[in-house]
Amino acid sequence: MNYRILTAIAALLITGLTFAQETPVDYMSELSEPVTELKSQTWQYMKSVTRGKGSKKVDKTRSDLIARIKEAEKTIKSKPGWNGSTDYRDAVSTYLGMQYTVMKEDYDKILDMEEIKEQSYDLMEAYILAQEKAGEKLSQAFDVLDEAQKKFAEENNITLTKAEMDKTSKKIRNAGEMLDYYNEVYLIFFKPYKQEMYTLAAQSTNDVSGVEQNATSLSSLASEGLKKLKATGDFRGDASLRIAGQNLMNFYVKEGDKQFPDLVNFYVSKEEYERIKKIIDSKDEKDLTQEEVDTFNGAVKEYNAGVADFNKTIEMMNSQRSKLIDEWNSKIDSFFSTHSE
Amino acid sequence: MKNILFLLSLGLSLVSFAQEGTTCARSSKLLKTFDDYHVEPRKVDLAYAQDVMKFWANSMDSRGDVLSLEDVELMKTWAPLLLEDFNESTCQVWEKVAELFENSLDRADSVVVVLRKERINLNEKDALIVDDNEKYVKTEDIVDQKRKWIKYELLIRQFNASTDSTGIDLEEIKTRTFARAECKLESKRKSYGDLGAYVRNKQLNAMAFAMDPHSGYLNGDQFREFERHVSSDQLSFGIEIGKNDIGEIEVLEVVPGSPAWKSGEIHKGEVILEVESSLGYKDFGCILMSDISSFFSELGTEPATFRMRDEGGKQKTVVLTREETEIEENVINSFVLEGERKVGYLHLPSFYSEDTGPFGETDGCANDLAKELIRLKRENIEGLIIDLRYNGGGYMHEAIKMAGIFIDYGAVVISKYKDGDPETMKDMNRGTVYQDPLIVLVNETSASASEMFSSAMQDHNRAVIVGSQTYGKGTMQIPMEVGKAMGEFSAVQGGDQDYVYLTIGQYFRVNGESVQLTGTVPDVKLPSEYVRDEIGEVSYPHAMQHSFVDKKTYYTPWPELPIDDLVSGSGARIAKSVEFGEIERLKKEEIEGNSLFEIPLDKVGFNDYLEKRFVEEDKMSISELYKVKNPSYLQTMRSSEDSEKIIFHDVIDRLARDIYVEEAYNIVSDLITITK
Repeated sequence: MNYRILTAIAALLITGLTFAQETPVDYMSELSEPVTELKSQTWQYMKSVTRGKGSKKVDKTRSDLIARIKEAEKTIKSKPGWNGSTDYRDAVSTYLGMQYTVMKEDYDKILDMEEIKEQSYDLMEAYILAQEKAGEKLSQAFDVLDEAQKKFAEENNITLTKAEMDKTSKKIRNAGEMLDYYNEVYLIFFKPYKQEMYTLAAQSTNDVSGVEQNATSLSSLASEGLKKLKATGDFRGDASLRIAGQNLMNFYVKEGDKQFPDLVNFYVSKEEYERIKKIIDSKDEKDLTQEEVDTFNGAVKEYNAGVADFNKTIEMMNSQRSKLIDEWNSKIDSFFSTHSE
Repeated sequence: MKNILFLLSLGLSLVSFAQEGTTCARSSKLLKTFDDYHVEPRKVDLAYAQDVMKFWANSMDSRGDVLSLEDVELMKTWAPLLLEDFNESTCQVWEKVAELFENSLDRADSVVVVLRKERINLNEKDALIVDDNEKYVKTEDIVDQKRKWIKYELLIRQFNASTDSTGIDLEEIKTRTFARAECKLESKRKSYGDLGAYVRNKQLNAMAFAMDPHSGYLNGDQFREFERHVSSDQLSFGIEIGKNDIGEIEVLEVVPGSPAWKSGEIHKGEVILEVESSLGYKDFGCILMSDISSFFSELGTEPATFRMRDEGGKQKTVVLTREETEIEENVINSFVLEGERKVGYLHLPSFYSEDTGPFGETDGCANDLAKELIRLKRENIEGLIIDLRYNGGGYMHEAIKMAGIFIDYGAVVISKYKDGDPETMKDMNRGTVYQDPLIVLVNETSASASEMFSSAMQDHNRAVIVGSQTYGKGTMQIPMEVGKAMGEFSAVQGGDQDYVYLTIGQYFRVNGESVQLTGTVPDVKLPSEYVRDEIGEVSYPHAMQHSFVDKKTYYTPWPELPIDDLVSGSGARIAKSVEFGEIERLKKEEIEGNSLFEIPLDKVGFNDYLEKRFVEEDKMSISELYKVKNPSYLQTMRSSEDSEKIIFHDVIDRLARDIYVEEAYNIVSDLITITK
């Protein structure tokens, strides 16, 4: 879920108005009324998401909000223009239309889904990428609306000022900020997390090529993740998510740089041992040179040690991963309970 | 006389009636399969029927040993009748061809009998004229032509015997030559059970080939053999066989660790006379090679008794049971070229694969290549050469996986099947295994998946493609059972099913272009010994056309490679190279020469002719630029054949004399220098 939509709704509500003339202001108020009426519904939805109200409740509040946005869009569309121009009215209804589409996740309408699918490795990745891009589209749409609003105000001698927020607007803003932070950290976490899954899938089928490729990518995605987490910083002094994320990233870097390559090396050594053994078996003992015997013995030793190390490495990776993912999930829970109203 | 002939042909007709229903039905079913599943089926018209007649003759007699020019011309006149057969599900032409071929075989047999009684003079001036464009001769010239071929074979055996220093016994040589000729004719009658079935098989063959050059017909036995060939593990006795100079089946190699090896009783040079098991029996005298492999695959894991003749002439029996044996040809070996630069070298024989897991996850050449690459990285190679010469293709998904080893992510190829939309196939794994300078070496024999791989590397700016313009095959084939849907096969195999290896799709580069007919054009061209017009896809007049597809693909190419610099560096070296100069000269001769060439058939002239050819082949010396080495873990290992030699000694020796590999080494060295 992209929470920027809701922050943007809150932004619409924050803008207050002082006037030099009555009529254009009335017009502006008329246009902002249907949007204001969304406030309460928006808060209901955000409350259900942030307080972990269970998916049924989230779905219900979400569908209610979507329906209200549609109604608001229709209402705005039915309003007349101002002074022969429908620019401002259209900007508001377009924006509401975009909100509707994004909340409904009807991404086909606003994104090149084929491009997104082509860049993704499975449906979940495609979905996350689509959400990210949809959020960007909405932000762009909001900028267009903001411009239209400023232009209308300028043309009609209206001064826009920041008014005092009412309680609900404040709540929406705060929830929006919290969800935005969570979303940003989650996206940073998601890429290397998914990449690790691909690496593990390759390893489970002894796909050496797959493991080697995915592991190098895992390391670089996780290193990038560390930089991004540093830049994202804490949320109002709360470093818990950032630290849990960092711990995971460091683990992924270690996996990508050392542990997966160690597993790959074992596969390669195993094959070397098997090849040497085949050559040795194809000859009569009396035809073997001392060097060959030494090479073979060395390969046997390395192989046996490799088997033990291989199993130990896998066990260690599994237990560390489990611990860090548990910690990540529990930090998310406590983050929400701490910052929700 | 006429009455007898009438009886004879009636006799044949009676025999053929029994098969007629089968032939007509099979032929119709095959045409329907083409129509339903071929990606661009040809129209079944007169032109198609004419091609079928042409290929049918060629299929039955590829050397021009049996059919005369008049026979082949007569067959061509039956094309309109064949078209009628196709439209009406009759098989009149099959009956006529079977009769014609039987008569031609009888004639060929009698020619051998006549020549056997002659006194052949190898001192008189004579010449064998080989015409690339026309291998059949007029009926009146058949005896004369056959006599020339017999002389040619006698001269070759004499030459081999003289270099062998086993002494030349002319009578013995003559006996063996004629035995070989007789055996060849007999095998045409014996295989497939009877002549009618042989002729039918060749008709179906011709029908598939006439659809497009890469579609082929397989009977049940051939299909099982085909399935066996494209995987790397298979049930086997571990005996590599070949025909000796009188057509007997001789043991060439015994695979270490195999059942034959473990028995200790089968040796190189021994002859297999017959094989029997509870599931079947085969006389190995005068047998077609394809008959052997299909017979073996029928044996499953039942013990089989081999009756052998050892080199001393004594007979013996050995009982063997087939086991899983890894087939050496489907294995990649890597080498290190150690000179001023340390460069890795890999030759990929084909894009082989092997189904392993319950979820269809596969193990194959991509995985094997990755392992070799990881080993080579440990040796700190600075660059890599992947050699795809003589790699005729294989599994598409392996080629895509292999491309993924060298690129991070993104589109690799576009595929399109009949009635479907084009689909992008992309690198399945993010990340790479190897990121340093890469050369892909290709030539006219690099086809299909090799072209897909090299063009993907070119489009991504990932590798420099070196060599000569590739084959030009942009189509994909799968095996199918005739009369069934794609992927569907009869539960019980081994019956009378027919199979096709059918062209069901095409692939395109990420820019939408096909490689069909055009192939991959190398970035750095090297003189080639091959004439592309003669051996590539363009050599088939009925090949599918070049095309392109309109589809947006998503990929991030690597930075541009310094191709111009590499081309000028290589050009300067090639201009000074004696060996490459010789290749250019020979090729020019071949192109300018006519399709006829003469082989002298008197002893003195013939020996001169052979010496000239052998001398040319000895010219290549060992490269002074680098030493070819096994990877470290194998450096102490010695070959089991000759304990003086390091393992893969012969391959290493060949590599060290390969001027194309040497030039590829130079180019990758230049690339390393430029990019450092």
